[in-house]
Amino acid sequence: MKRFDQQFLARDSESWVGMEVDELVDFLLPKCQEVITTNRLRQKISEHPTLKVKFGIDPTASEIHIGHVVPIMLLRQFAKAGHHIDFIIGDFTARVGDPTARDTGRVPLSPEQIVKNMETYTSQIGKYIDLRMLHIHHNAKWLNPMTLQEIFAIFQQINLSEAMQREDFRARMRNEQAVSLAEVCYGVLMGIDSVHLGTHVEIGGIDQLLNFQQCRKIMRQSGMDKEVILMTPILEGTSGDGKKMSKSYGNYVAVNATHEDKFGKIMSIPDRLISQYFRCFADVHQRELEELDAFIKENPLEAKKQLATLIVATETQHIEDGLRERESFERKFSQKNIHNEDCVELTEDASTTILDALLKSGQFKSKGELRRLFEQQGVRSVSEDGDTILSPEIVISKVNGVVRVGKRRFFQFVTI
Amino acid sequence: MELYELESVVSSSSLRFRRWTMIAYSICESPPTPPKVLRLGFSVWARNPPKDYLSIYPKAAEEARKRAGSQNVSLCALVDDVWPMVALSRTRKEQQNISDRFVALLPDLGFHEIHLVSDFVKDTALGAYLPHATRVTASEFWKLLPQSKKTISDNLTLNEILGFLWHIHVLEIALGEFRLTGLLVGIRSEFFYLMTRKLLPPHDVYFVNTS
Repeated sequence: MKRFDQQFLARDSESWVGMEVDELVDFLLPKCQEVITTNRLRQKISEHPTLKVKFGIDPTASEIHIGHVVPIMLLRQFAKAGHHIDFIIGDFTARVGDPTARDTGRVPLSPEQIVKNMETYTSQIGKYIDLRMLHIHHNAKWLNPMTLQEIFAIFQQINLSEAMQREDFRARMRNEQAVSLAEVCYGVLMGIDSVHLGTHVEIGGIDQLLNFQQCRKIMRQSGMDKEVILMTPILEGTSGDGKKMSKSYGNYVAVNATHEDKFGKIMSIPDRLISQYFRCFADVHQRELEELDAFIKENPLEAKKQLATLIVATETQHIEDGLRERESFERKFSQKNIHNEDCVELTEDASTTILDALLKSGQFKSKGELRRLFEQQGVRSVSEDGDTILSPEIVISKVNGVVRVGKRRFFQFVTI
Repeated sequence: MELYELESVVSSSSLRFRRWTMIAYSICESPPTPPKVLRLGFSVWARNPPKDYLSIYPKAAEEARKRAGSQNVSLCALVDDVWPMVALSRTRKEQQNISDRFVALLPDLGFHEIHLVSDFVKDTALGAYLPHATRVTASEFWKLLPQSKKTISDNLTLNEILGFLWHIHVLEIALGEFRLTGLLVGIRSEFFYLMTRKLLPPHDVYFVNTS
C-alpha cells in the first residue's frame, strides 16, 4: 500500500534552498486556488534569490482552526526555500476591521484584545511553522505615525467611488448592512504595508482578492513593481455541506484540539474533500496529484486515515504520533475494542435514566443536544457483535458495556 | 441673510428646515439652564479671508446668544493652517501669510478668540483620527456629501474621507481645549456638522445661511 503520509511528512525536514524555480513553483501551485500571475511568480523567483514574502493577519480571534493554517502551510514552503518571510500582525488594521467576506461589520479590537489574541495565535501557528523563520512586524509601527501629507499622497490616488463600490460592500449595502468608512480604507492600508516592506509576493486566502488588488494598485502608484499574489482556497468544513470551516458553523478542527479529536474529525470529512485537504496540509508536487487522486478514489478510507495521520504528525514532526492515533482509532471504531481509558466513567443510582446520567456528566451543552443525539440513533451500546440503539428512558442498570454517544464519545456506567 | 431653523432633532435623516430670518438656531433642544456664556467655535481654512462673508458669523453668534438666553457670547475662530497646506499644496510660507491675514482680520470683524490649528492639534498622525472612521458608514457619508460633489464623483478620491476625519479630529480637540458649547457653521456644511453631533461630545450646532 502506498504511504503518502510518510512520503509527505519526510519532506517536512527537507531544505529547499537552491531548488530550481520550476520545481518550487510545482510545489507551490497545488496549494493555490489562484495566482496573479504564475508567470510573474516564476520571474520574481528567478530575479530575487531571496524573495520578500508577506503574510498578514489581524488578530481577531484567540483560537484558530486548521482552516486558518492553510496559508501558513504555503508560507512554510517559501521559508523552506530560504526566502524572507514578513509576518504582519495587523495591530493597526485590526482597529479598523477587515471587511473581507463579512456580511456585517467587524467589531474593531482594543489594543489589549489584540495583544492577548496575538499571544495565543503565535503559539498555535508555531505548531506548523518555525516562528524563528518569521520576521514579525506590527503594522501600527508605520501606519500609526503616518503624517497627514503622507497619507494624503496615497489616498489621492484612490477613487472614492471605486473604493466604495466593491462587490462585497455593494452586497452588504443592498441588504441594508453597514460598511464603515474605515473598511473602505482597509485595502489601502494593506497596500501601505506592502510598500513599506517592499513585498515581492503576498500570500492569503482567496477571500482577500479585493484587498490584494488594492495593494497592487498602491504599489504601482508608488512606483514599485506590483507584488505577486498567491491565494489559497477557503477550506471547507468537516460536515461536507459546502460551508467554509468556521467556529460558528461547528464544522471545524481546532488547532488546539487533542490529537485524538483532530484525527477523529478528519476521519469525518466527506471523501470528496480528501484531495483538497492533502494539497493544503502536505507538500504535494504537481506531478504527484494524479497518482494521489487515483489512490484516494481507489482507497478513500485508507487515504483519509493517511491524511489524518499526516495532519496529526505535522504538528509534532513525528510520524509515530500520527500512527498512534491511527491505531487507537482503528481499535475503537473498526475492532470495537474500547479500553477503559477511552471512556468517561459515570457513577449514578441504578434507577437513573441514561438521559439524566449523561446530562449530569457535564459533557453536553443541553438536554436538547442529548435528545437530538437519541433521536438520530446516536446513542448506542457497543460490542464486537454489533451496536444496540438505546432510548433515553432506559435506566443505567439495564445498559450493558460501553455506550457510544455521537461519533467519538464513550461512557461507562457504574451503579451505586 | 437668511437663516434656517431646524424643527426636528430625532435623527439626521428626518431633519427638516423652514425659512427664518436673521436667527441662527441650535439643532439641540435648549438645555434647561442656558449657559451664562455661549462659547461658539467657527472653523475656517480654505481661502483668503473674504471679509463680507465672515462678518455674518459674529452677528449670527449674537442672535444665537439671544435665542439661547445667555448673557454673553464668545466666538472662537479655529483657523486651520494644517489641512490647506496638505490639500492645496501650500508652502509653509504661503500658509503663514494667509494665517497672518486671518489673525489680523478676524478680531476686527467681531471674533473674540483666534486659534491656529497648528497651535492646538499636536498629533497629526493617522492613528489619531482614523479610528473615527469605524463609526461612520459609507452610506451615511455618501448621503451627506453635498450634491455638488456627487456630480463630480468620478473625480473624488479617498481624501474626501481623510479631510472629513481630519476636521472631526480638529473639532474634537477644540471642543475640549476651548470649552466650546457649540459650533457656528454655514448651512452648506450641514452634512459634515450633522456627523460631528454623532461622533463628538455633546455640543450645539447653529446653522447660518450665508447664500
